[in-house]
Amino acid sequence: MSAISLSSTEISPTSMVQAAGVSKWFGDLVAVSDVSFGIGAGVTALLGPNGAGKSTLLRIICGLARPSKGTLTILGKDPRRDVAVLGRIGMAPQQETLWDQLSGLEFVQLAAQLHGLSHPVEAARGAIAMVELDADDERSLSTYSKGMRQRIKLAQAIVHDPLVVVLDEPLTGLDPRQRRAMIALFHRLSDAGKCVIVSSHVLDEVERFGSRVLVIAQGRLVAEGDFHKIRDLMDDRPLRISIRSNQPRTLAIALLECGVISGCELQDPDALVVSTSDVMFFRRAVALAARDHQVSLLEIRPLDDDLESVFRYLVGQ
Amino acid sequence: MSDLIDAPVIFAEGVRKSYGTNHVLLGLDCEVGSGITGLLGANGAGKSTLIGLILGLRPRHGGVLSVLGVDPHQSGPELRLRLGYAPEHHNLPGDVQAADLVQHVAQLHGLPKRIATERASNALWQVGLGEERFRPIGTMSTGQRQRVKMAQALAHDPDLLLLDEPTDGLDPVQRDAMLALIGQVGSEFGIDILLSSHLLEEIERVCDSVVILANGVVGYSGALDDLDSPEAGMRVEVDGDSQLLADVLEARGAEVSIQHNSLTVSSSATANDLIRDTVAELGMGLRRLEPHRTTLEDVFIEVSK
Amino acid sequence: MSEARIHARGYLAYEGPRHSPSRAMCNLAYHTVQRVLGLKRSNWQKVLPALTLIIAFMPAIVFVGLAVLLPGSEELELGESGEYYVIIVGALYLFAAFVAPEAVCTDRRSGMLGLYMASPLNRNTYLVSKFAAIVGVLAFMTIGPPLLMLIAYTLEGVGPDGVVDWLAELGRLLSAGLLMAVFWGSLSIAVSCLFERRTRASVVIFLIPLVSTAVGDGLSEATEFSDSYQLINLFSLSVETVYRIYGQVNPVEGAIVRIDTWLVFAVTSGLIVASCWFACWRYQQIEIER
Repeated sequence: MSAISLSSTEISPTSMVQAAGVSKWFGDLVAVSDVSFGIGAGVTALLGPNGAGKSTLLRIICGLARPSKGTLTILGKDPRRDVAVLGRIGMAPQQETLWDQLSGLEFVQLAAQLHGLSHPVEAARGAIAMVELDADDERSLSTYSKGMRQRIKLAQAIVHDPLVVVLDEPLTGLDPRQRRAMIALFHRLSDAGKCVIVSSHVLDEVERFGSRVLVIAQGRLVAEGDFHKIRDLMDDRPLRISIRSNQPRTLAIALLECGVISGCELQDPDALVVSTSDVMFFRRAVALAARDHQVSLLEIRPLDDDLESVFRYLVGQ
Repeated sequence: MSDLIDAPVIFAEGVRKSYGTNHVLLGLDCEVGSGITGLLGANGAGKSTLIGLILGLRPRHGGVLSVLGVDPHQSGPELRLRLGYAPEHHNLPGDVQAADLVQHVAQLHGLPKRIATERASNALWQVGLGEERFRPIGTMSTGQRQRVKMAQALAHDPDLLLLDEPTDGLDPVQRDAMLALIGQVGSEFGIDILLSSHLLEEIERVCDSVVILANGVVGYSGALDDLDSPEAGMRVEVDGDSQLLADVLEARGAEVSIQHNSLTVSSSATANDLIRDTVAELGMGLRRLEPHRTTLEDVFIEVSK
Repeated sequence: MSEARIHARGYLAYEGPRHSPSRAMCNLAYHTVQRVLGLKRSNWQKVLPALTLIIAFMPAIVFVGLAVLLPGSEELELGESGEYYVIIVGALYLFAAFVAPEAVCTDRRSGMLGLYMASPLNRNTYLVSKFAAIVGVLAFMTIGPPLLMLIAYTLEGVGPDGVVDWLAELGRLLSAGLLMAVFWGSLSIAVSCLFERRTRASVVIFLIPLVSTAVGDGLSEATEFSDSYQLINLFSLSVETVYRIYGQVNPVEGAIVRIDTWLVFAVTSGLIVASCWFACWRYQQIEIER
């Protein structure tokens, strides 16, 4: 499958994270293959099937791994050469931390000290407050629930006020309320002008925290940009839309006449499922056609324009 | 399949449970019927405790609990013979072959050895691990382990299946396959399922009904269909300036609220036609028009306050 | 025209008979024996169990071999029955320390315990099955070699005279073997309950008898060979128990000979009961419903 890209205009000097032809292989295993993109401020979701190379790519972005080929720059500098740039990156890894015997405050404070902050305790308290945990909680991390662990990992990642925040699967194990709070936090970071890169499997949640995605499959970048626009580019796959109205037959004929749909199927007494390859045109035409034929619209619902459908299409399953 | 139509699969009345001074369940009442039931709750709301009580692992501190018609604490072993359980954690013995593990668990649930071997193999095919069944579990990916857990819960043909976060760690495609399998088990195999999950969309997709725990009691329980309330207004999304559309609709007497790029227009006899005409007039594209539904998330947030 | 037909595909319900929950205990015990002995596992896992079995059986096999090859040989000097148990206790010790912890430690670490608790087993039946498996293997080591010897003696014509005596000897052999197996098995399972990591349990089980020897010997030394302190020494205690069952006197110097027999048995059974109680108590504390 050819890569779908909206990136030509978006790779600009304002990109905070810039990859050019990045590949990474371990022996004969190709984990990341010739990936190029630019990511600016805001929330970007990194998506892909398990084993597609997401974690490797995140490690490269954070300077934890060196690309076998190509270059990756953060704010124009190579994070593996420039220590100052490394200090502008914060990461929360997917795996559970190994610091089980520390308290939350000690753990975040340790990160603050490693970054050489002048007031590590204050910084740690601030970061813990950001993630809505209690800095005075003296229990060790081993007693923390999954949700608390996720949040303390995030606190550790943002304690030094980085510009680029990389979060690997930060939503797993959170309950719906905690997820909501976490997503609100992404938005706060994004509003503060930071570049937030989040990998996640929970596509319904990704749809809420931003529409900008990078999709990796088999180590290659297969799409980037606003997923709604990516969907519009998938013109070899007609979009299916369910329409309920008081006169489905009349509406079907009207839509067929103006040539915006390529197929239609009557379902329930009042429901019609149409397929169209020019969805923008269809959306403009449907209200007009209904008005002109005095058809009352009860419901218009696209059946496969959600991120999940886009994802399936892109990863080829 | 629960043949007794009258008896609920799980019945709880005033169930209480504490660990020392930590009161986890404070009088829980619910009735779980046949089909697929979602179990939701914030972290710490008592889901794991409830599952422990259903399995009969702990005594409760009051109330009535009956699972498949028996008290799990009184007749735990006999009840567990008819239960299948897939725990949340992913660690399974790494040096054991998937087929051996599933067979062993099936035998523990009372199946004769030959039949256990046969059904273990079938169950692994069913979950899509047929080719991998002789691999040590330690060499398997998260997705494959989730399926091994499913197979071991399923192989002995339980009457009730308890699944704890069965899609945790799966990517979207694997998750879809797992949900399809769960749906198939619930409908075609005729096994009742209690599915604990944090992902509301997942529950909405496969479950018939839902139980939401909040603060140690049942905050909501009922069929998912009951959540639809078409009276709550119409949700509209357009290609174009949502704010402009909202302003024009309001000028024409509609009640409109806007959040992100989606408008909610209060129901009235003429609301739908008004939206249609206004969108047509403004030359906008109509992306979406649907009755506003109370989502599971709305309910969840409401009861978890 | 041949008939065509589509057979039911996919999932099949199981309507057949099911074994009762007590059968699950047998299954678990059997499975545990297999696991402990390293069957169906890598060859590396078979080394230690095989080694301890060889230690326990080798002298008996050599003895029986000689008896068969050199019938009537005068070299077959028959020592006291209790002596062989010194070797066996050594093998039991190694097995209890390095092989038996596999039976319970690994289940907690690998999450199998959760699956077992969701089966017809419960905490107590689980422990009983595990205990039975360990004791079973240990009893094979304690009963097998003396039984071989007894048969060899009998074939040599130097065994106990008459059926009654022979059966009495067999009875002593079985009860001594079983008591040893239960004693070392309960020690092993009690310590294993405390650790998720098998190696840690092994180290502690390995150290306890050594420490008990040092403390027991030290105390009896300091108090001028007071026998009662030797009861602390787990090795001496187990060997002495066997001698008492056989009604013989341990010829080794410094052995516990002056203590009343009832006290020896009381200490042994006391330790067994305490270990078993501790294991059950400990398992009630473990949280499983995760």
